This record gives sequence, structure tokens and C-alpha cells, in this order.
Amino acid sequence: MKRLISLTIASLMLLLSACGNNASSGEQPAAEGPKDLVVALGSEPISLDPQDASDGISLHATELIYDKLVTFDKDMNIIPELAKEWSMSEDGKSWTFTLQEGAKFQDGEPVNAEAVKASFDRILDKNNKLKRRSLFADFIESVSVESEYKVTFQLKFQYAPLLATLAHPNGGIHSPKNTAEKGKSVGKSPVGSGPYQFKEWISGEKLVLEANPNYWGEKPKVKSITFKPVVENAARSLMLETGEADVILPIPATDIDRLKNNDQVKVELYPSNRNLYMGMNTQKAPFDNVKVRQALNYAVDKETIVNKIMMGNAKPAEAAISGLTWGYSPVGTYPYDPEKAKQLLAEAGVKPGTTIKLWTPEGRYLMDRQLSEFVQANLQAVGFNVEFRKWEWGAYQEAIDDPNSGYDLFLLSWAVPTNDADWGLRPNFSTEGSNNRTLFSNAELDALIDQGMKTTNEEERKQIYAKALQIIKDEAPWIFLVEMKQPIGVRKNVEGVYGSNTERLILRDADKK
Amino acid sequence: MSQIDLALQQDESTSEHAYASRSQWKMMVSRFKKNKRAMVGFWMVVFCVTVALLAPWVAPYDPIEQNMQIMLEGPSLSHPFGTDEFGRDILSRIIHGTQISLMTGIVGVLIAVILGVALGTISGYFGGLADTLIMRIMDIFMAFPSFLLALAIVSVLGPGMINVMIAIGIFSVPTFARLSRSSVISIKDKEYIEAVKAMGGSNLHIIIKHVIPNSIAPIIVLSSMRIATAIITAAGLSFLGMGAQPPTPEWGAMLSTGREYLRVAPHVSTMPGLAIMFLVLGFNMLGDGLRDALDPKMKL
Repeated sequence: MKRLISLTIASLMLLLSACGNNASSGEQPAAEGPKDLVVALGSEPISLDPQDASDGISLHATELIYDKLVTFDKDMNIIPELAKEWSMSEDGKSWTFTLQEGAKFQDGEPVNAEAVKASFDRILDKNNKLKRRSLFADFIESVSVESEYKVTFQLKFQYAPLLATLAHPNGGIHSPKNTAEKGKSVGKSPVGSGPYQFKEWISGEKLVLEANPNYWGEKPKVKSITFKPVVENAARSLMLETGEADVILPIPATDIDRLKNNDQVKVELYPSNRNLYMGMNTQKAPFDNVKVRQALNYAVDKETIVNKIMMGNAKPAEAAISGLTWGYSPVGTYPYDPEKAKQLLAEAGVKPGTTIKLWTPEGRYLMDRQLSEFVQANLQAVGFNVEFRKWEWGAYQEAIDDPNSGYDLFLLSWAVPTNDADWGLRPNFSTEGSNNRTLFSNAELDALIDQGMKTTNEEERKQIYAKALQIIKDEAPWIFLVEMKQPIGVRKNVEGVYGSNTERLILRDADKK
Repeated sequence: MSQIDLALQQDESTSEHAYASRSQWKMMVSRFKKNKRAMVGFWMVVFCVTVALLAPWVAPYDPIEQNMQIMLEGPSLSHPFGTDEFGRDILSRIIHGTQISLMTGIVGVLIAVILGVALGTISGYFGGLADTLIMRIMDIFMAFPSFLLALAIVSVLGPGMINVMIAIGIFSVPTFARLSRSSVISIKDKEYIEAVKAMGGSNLHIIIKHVIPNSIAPIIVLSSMRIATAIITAAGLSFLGMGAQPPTPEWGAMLSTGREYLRVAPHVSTMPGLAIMFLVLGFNMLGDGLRDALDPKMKL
């Protein structure tokens, strides 16, 4: 009978486990002065080395630790950061930046031209195998020191989005002393010159950054910023409501309305240039056939995803990049037409009942698991047998980085931190692209992307990208899904937090009353 | 009680031994029938088995088909248990889920019984080095908390219901091996075993015809209780995403996905939670009753 009781209680506990999660009391210490700002995100950073981090979560944190030469302001204008001014040679291939004087890294080393050169040499060096190498290496020839505070970038060709690319979080400047000492492991012990410095990182629990007392710019307003990975959507909302978290991202679509009515909380939907897509392994049958890829696009009901799953907090994607990104042109979305999909599949000789694998992260993007389950049902409806698997974010990244892991379809998204079509397309669709997990290869498209990168005339570039986007739509290596919005929840006593168009959670000016 | 009566009839043979076991059965059945709690458990399990067998006919809707127009609706006449985040009928999903839960419970325990009884009998009957070796390995297995062990096994094998069944089977083996070893030891020196030995019966013959049949009673009791544990464990693994993958209507998985909607639609996770409780309670009461009926002195 004891067993019986304990098992009954165990099953009840299973049932109630959700309620228990993180539902601790919302008491805040009434201490005066600077405080700790708690940020709950859907998953945790992968690396704090901006040159080796390719996921948005990591970059939320690196933006606080590192300064870049230039940065974006709230309206996406490029403004000075470590560089106070810059000039371009007549042929546009040589750019000289003059640095702020007196800036120091968090380890006390001075920020000078040598340091900037060392930082860029590190990412440009092929042997370092850093994930974001191609962001810079494809157009930078070399970096040279002019004087203590003057550094020159020699380009391979005139590159229109140069400044935007330097404003990418991946352009964060490392302390040369730290990279020399730690090598690849700087991802776990980063040193930059930003307003917040690394304190501790307990994987799966929290990452703590503390204010850098010697920051050269405007002093940070809170004592520390703690990032917590909270996979559970419901738990994240609850943390915001109880005050256990000051900032949460993302807010589950089902909770947005409720939180809007809470007078302790501000809910803001920021536009974001993130497009969500379902990638296909285009090297693998049947996805090597363009008809099958188009069929999948016809099979998915984007309108219902937007209205029912995202509850209106998104819109159907009309191109491979978002409408906010420079170089966008709407090439249109595939209408929802399961009959057409079936017909295309029949033409391609795909037998009903063909088994395919669909992989998805959970908690990384707004309603990601739900969206994937819905797509699964859509694809089952046109005759596929879809094996579903959900992954933890870190393991998922590793799995989809390796084509031999066996994926067919994978849910992923791309935000363009440079806000320019070049970095929207080059990593994802060029044959050698660093994020080309669909293994898509098309010579004509490669040529267009290359041409777009090397052209400076704005009109010409726009036309090139329009053509490229059209080819991508027709070739359909993705199931184009939705343009996201970024729902950020903030406690009323917190100010200065916002989401940028490039989907950064900007915390540099955060203040907690 | 028809199953047990049937077993009784099949058991009829001419030997003295069979006659004795027949009267034992009768006593057992009458003791079981007198135990109200056991009978309630028995009928709860019968109910679930019936629902599982008739699932395609009794479920009012397709358990997998989505209808986004009616997502997250509360219980109503047309959907007595409400609908989930994809507008699927929760009642139909629970009915189909009964099949999965029963299947994992029964298959998992069956694997454990076959392996456990085989190992335990060898160990108890032959003793010596085989005994030491087998039982020490079992000890190693028992050193791990059972759920953790199951989780580790599924992590290695990869998620999926078949792997969950294997994991449940493996983590239950030591319990069965120990139990069957101890009951084999208690009977292997009895006179009737000696008699068969004296008549020249081979070890295999003795084990299969005499040792196992006479040591199986506690195994049956333990099985019915382990099925309950197995169902909970399977639901737990699915809850953590290691078991059934969408859109399979597995109770633990339903419970898990429903959590996100706990504030807006509590029925989505409450209903499968109640279903798990019902079935597990049934098996536990049945197991307790079987124990009392088979041997009132036996303690498990």
C-alpha cells in the first residue's frame, strides 16, 4: 500500500510539475543603488568568442563584453564606437579608422591599432578555424597599423556594406593578451573593452557579467547582468510576472495578451529581420529534385502558422530575407495548395508514405516546436511519413553542422546582423557559405551573390539581389515560413532595454530602478 | 474472473501435482474475489485493456488530425475532454494513448521477466561462480536509481518508444533476477526435485518443468506491480522528450506539451495526467490483491 500511495503521489507530482517550476516568490530585496539585472532567454550562449559564435543568443552577451569599431544606433544608422572617425581612399579599397584614445580592455591592456590588427588577424587566419571567418575574410585583404591609434583595412575589392559588417557583433575586438594566452578557449573566458565584463558561467544555470568600472564610455548603470537559460515558455513568463526575471525573450505567443494586461510588466513587439525557415538537405533524395522542394513549399499553410500558432506575431515570408534588410525585394510566397503539392510529388516520382526526418529545436524561437509539429502534419497530409525529433539547442547546432548526422528537414532561422542582403544570402546560399546547411549549390546564384558583394552602385546591387532572391524562391532549398517579430517582456522598473532590427537584445543602457 | 477460470480448466490433468495446484488456484481466486480493493483494481485494468483494444472504434475523432480552428477549446459536448494546441480531440488521443501505455508497460516488463527469470534461475539453481558473477552484475545495475538508468539507456539508444521499452526492460531485470533466484534457492533442495534428479532428469528438464513453475507466483505479483512502474517511467521519459515523438498520442508527451498552456487551457495536461493516474492505480491495486491472494504471508 505504501508503494501505491507513493506512486499515486508521484503521478500527481508529474502532473503538477509545471506549476512547481520556478514559481518562487517574487520578493525583491529593497536595496538601494545599482542592482543585478536578470535576463531569461530560451537557451544559453554557445560561445562568448564573438568571432566563433554563430547563434543569436551568444551575441546578446558578447555585445556587452566587447566593443566594435562602429555600431548601429536604435534607428540602424552606423555610429562610432571604438573608432571615432574613418576615411576611405579614392578607389574605395582602403579604409583608415582613427580610434578613441584612452580606451582599455578589461584586463588593463590598451585598445590601440595593434590590438585591432591582432583581433582581425586572428579571425582572418584560416588555421584558427573560427566560425565567422568568411564574414570578413571574403573581402578583407589585410589590416595594418598606421600609428598608435590609426588602423587601415586593405580590401580585396570595394565592398559596399563594409561599415555594416564591422558593426556586426562578430566584429567585437578581443584583448590580444587574452587571445594569446587562452587560444580557442576565450569562448569561456572572454576579455573585451565593453561596459560589462565576464564574471562566471555555470552552464545550464547562469552567465553573470558584471559592470566594468573602468569603461571608457558612459558608465554602466546596473551592477551586473545575469543571463539564465529557461527553456520552458511558461516558466519564462512566470519569472517575469513574479519579478524573478527583469527581461524575458521570447514571450510565448499564448502569453503575450495576458502579460500586456499586467501592470508590472511592459510587453514590446520589436520588428526583427529574422526569417524562420525549414531547411532541406538538397543533396539527399528526394530533396535533390526541385519539384519536391517546391511541393513542400506548397504543402505548408503559412497563413495558419501566422494566425493560429504565432497568434498574429509574425507574417508570411515573401523572400529569403526580411523586408527590413537592405536589398530586399518581395518575390512572393508559395500559396498553400496541397493538391498542387501532391501533383508535383507524383511528377517527381515520390511515393506516398516516403519516410523523411524533421528536426527542430525547442524553446529557441517563438513557438518553434509547435510550428514544426504543424509543418509535420502539413507534410503528412500530402503523403509523407514524417519522423519528428526535438533537440536541445546546443546538441541541435552540432547535429545540423554535420551533414552526416542524417537530417532531411530542419527548422532554423537567419537574422542579418549587418542588415544587408550580402550577409543574408552569402552564408546561406552560396556553395561555400558558412551557414549553408542545405548544401545547396547553384552556379548562377553563386555568381550573383559574388557580384552583389563586389558592386557598390546601390541600384545595381538591388537589382542583383532581386534576381538572386527570385532564383532562391524558384529553387526552394528552404520551406519559406515567416518573418518573425521579437516579443520582449520587461519589468516596469527597468529602462533602456530594446530589441534592434537585427534582433539583438540591447542591454548596454539598461537601468533598474 | 473469466481469465483465471479458463486458466483453471486448462490446468486440469491427471497428475496428483496438478490436482493440488488446482485447489490452490481455487483458494486464490476466492481470496482475490473477497478483496474489494483488488477487484476495483482488476476492473480498472480490464477497462483500460478493453479501451485499448477497441481504440479505433470507440475514439470519436482521429487522434492525429489537426484542426487549428478549434485549438485549445475547453471540455464541451462534442469534445468531452477539450482540444489541444492543434485542435486535436484530447479524449481520442487519450484513448489511443492507452494502447501505447499498456504496450510499453507490458512489453517492457515481459523483457524484464524473460531475462530476469532466466538469469535468476541459472544463478539460484547452479550457484557457484555463475551465481556470483550474475548477482554482482545485477548489484551494479541496482546501484543506479532506476529512472536515471532508464534515461541513460534511452540517451544512448536514441529517443523512441521501442527504445523506451528496452530501457524499462533492462532496468527491471535485476529486481526479477533477485526475486527468482531467491525462490529457486528455496525450492531446489525440496524432495520432489531430488526425486526427479534421482530418476535421472536433466538439469534443463528440472528447471523448465519443475523449478520455474513452482517459483513463478511471486514473479506474477511483481510483474503486475512493475507494469505500473513501467508505465510511469515511460510517461516520464516521454515527458522529458526521450520517448514518444510527435504526433504520437503518448500520455507523458501530452502532459509535457500541455504545460505551456497550463495558464490558458489547463485541461490539456490535466486529462492525460488523470489517465496515467487511473491506469497506474489500477495496476497497483491489482498487484496488491494478487499478492494477498497468492500468499498472504508473502511480502514484496
